[in-house]
Amino acid sequence: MQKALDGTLTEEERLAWQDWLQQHPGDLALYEEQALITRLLEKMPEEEPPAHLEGQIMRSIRNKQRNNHSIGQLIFQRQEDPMAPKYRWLLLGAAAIVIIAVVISRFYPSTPDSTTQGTIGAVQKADKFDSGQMSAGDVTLTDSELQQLLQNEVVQRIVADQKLMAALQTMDSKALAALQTLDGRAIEALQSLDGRAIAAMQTLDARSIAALQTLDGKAIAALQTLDAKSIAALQTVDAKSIPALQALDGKAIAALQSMDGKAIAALQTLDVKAIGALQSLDARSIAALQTVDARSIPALQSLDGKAIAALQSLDARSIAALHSLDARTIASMQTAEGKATVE
Amino acid sequence: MIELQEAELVSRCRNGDDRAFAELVSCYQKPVYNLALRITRSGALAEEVTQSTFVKVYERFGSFKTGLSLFSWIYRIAMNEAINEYRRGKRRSSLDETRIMSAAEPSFELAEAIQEALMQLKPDDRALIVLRHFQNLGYREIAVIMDRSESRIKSQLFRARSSLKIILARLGVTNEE
Repeated sequence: MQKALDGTLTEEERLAWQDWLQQHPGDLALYEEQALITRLLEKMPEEEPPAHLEGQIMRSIRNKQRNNHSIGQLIFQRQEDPMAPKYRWLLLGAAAIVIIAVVISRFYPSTPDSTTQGTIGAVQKADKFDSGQMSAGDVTLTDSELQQLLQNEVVQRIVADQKLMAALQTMDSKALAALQTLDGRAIEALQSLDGRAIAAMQTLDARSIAALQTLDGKAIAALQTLDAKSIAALQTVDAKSIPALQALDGKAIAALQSMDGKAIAALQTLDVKAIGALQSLDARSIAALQTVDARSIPALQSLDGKAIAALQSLDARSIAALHSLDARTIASMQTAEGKATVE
Repeated sequence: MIELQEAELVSRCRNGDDRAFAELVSCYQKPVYNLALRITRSGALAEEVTQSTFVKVYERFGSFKTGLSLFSWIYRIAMNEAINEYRRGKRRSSLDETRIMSAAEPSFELAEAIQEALMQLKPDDRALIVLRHFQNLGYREIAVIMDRSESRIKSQLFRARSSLKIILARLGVTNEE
């Protein structure tokens, strides 16, 4: 019938179709109904867009270019898929560092004394940043914004941290290219970080940086979806969580990057208690959790410290079984005095 | 637009060539505007959707994979923008009824009835009808745009047309006159 409606039947098919309709009056009625609608729809006129629309679109693009604070080309910017807040935080921290490094490389292109470190003006520029991966021309922040950024207390603390800056220097061109897609919103997010978050961030080591290097533009786009609530939640993550985050490998990162809006929405409902529970997870638990899907998140949110301890004894097979648990079962598990293992 | 020209245009846009982007806008603004107009039934909203679609296209060129159809990619963004704008407009409609009702004027009575019937379909079904019957896209292209299988598109289209027939009958349209 579809081919008949589309007018794509061969002559042979058309004859067969006509025979069929003669013998099946129900189908004939249905076909005529569909054909009528098809013909009616074909009568609808096409409208011309208003003459001013094209100019209006191009103006908005130019405004976008002017207002965009991206480092690097806007063209490599945002995509839709968001990702886990916990991981976003890691990204955000690294992004902030890169922004700072770029700013420094622009404002302090030649360090007068390579042995002097500890203040913004004296930070030694990493060899990596001398390699042409980023140039002053890539930085599109305005001078006032740069000054504001440089004067930011958070920025000054990060720059003064030699270990962090050394870790930063392990970033390769791919990671830098990805991070260059960050826009002004990342700056705002940076400025919303408090001392605790910065302290946690300063524990990032070379391994974390290596994980970050697996990020693509999609992951970066996720960063830009952070809202105030997520930032606040992320600020509850402390240094203890960082080693757990560092246990994430390329596969886990890829899995996180595939999270859809529903899963993200679920993650954004995590409260301080849930964050606290998450912080008690060790590397083994993290590995097990990497197999958990979005459906399991609401159930996980009801877990307390005792349940977490029990969960830490589970292996991957048990985790698979856990996927079928609902919130009610979880509640009953929590009364089982640590005997809550799943066969 | 043939494939090579499209690839060249994409490459120029990615290199930040504003004139290339202007060409792209010029090439696709009419179908995007019409798609938005049929989904929102409002000239003003259709303008907004067309504008925001191209801004998003500009922002997201980095995520566009060569090998895919640029046309389908733009349409997917436009369709999502139009459906979202329609839903936002619907929520606003109790406060700003005139804005929604001041749609582009249908050029004749039957068109008005058809547009009215279309508005009574679910936005998703409406988008499907528009893509197939107003934009004359093939099932494969629609499947790419709507991220569904061709067979699902065909069956959904069949159901959408049946619903449209029932709505049109309620509006007194039973034939082509």
